Amino acid sequence: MATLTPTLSLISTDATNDELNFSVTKDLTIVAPYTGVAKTSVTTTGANNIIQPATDGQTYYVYVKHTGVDASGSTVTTTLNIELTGDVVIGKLAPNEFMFMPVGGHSLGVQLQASSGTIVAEYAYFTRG
Amino acid sequence: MATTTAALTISSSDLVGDALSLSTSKELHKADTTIGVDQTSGIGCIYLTATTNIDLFGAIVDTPAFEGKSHWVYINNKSETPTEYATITIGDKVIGRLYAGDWMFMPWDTAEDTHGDNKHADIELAPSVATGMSFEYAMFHEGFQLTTAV
Repeated sequence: MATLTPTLSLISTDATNDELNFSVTKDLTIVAPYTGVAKTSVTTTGANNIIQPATDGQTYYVYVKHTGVDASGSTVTTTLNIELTGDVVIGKLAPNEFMFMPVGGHSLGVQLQASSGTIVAEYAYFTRG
Repeated sequence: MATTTAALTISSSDLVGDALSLSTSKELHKADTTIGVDQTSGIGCIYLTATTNIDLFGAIVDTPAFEGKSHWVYINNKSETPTEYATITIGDKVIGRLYAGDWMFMPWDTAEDTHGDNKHADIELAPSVATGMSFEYAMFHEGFQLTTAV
């Protein structure tokens, strides 16, 4: 077992008149399997870019970031689909955007799909202990 | 426009031999622009005493004007009982379980879902117990359909 500590901060001085500035964190107990922080060049076929295997009752914590470049290193403005396997879109990331969320309670994996061309994505998943 | 910044760090000293220390941040922008999202639900808190699946953020119904806009969702399970969780669903697809103390931050795709009638993926939450669970939540966005008064 290992401990993973994700921390989210949300900050804004002008979203409302009440300044937003808060953080939330938690120590998560992690067991195998898990990945290190990896990068992959994502194509327009989601089924070819499965980054988290199908769940079998367990919960995975999934991190994904759109790096803003394609496979050649050129800047891109296209969006990166976050999908459950079977091409179910649950969200889209623009360049440099990221997400962190639990996935599980079903038998699906997570896959990524570029809206066009290629997009280099940074990702990791960790299994809840 | 407003400037709202989300930052994430992920660290671990014992996951692998090489300590993990990841840090990233990003201003939340309207879709396909560099203009900050200018609307928010604010940070709210709810206390639920049933296991009924509820709409935390309701479906956008028959309003293509909202489709494709930028929406960011934060949810935190404030329970301190480790076995208590909430099942998070988008449209008709279960995404995952948010256990006690866990939080999530994700973009919300509001494309038309498979419910029919042009309903655009609601975000649903179902507590695992009826003994009372608290959740903190917020949405930062550039447009969201409010329910018409009846």
